[in-house]
Amino acid sequence: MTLHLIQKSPFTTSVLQNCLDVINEEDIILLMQDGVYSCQLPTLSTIENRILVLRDDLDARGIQADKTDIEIISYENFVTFCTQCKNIISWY
Amino acid sequence: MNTITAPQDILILQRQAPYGSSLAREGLDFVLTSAAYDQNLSVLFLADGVFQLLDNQNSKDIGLKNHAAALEVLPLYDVENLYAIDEDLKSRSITPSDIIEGIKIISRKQGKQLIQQHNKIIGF
Repeated sequence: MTLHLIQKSPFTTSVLQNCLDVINEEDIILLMQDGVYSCQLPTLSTIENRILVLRDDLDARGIQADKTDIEIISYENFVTFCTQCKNIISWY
Repeated sequence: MNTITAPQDILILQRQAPYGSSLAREGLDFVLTSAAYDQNLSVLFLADGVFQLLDNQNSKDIGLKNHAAALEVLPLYDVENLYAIDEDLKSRSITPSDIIEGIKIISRKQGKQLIQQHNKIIGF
């Protein structure tokens, strides 16, 4: 299981799509830094992978993650996910 | 007494085009350094990283080292597992004859498997 850290906005870069191109079904996506803007993407709900978003980065940018299929997590949770995943890939 | 660490398989993801940023070069430096320490390496070129493979690069006039020429010496460092994703080549109008020798072209599905199989992955 790989944790994919999406760190750039999907509106200015293609890192989210690059990640989706090679993601495995059991992998987890974590939206952080400008990656939290992905919450504004109308097509986000079509992604079948588990999606997390870092609360601090979300709050800082005033973005709402009110879609029920996105899990809002803390930095403490983030650390836990890092320890549970075999690999971490940063997409920046 | 020295401890002996068995070489571990590392997968390097090359995702950026050369020259525009230093990331492609840094990835290559990482590969060369790791190879010098006898690490077993594989390199996967994907997304804009496939632009690194074009064989007619001539970067003399922009004052930077030729990236493709540096990639071509990797087999001399026993780095022979060089992969590029077919779909990413095709979507950028790159044909197999456009790229340097020694690159194994694989499907996106095989790329996923490669990532899944590795315990150490470093992205550039």
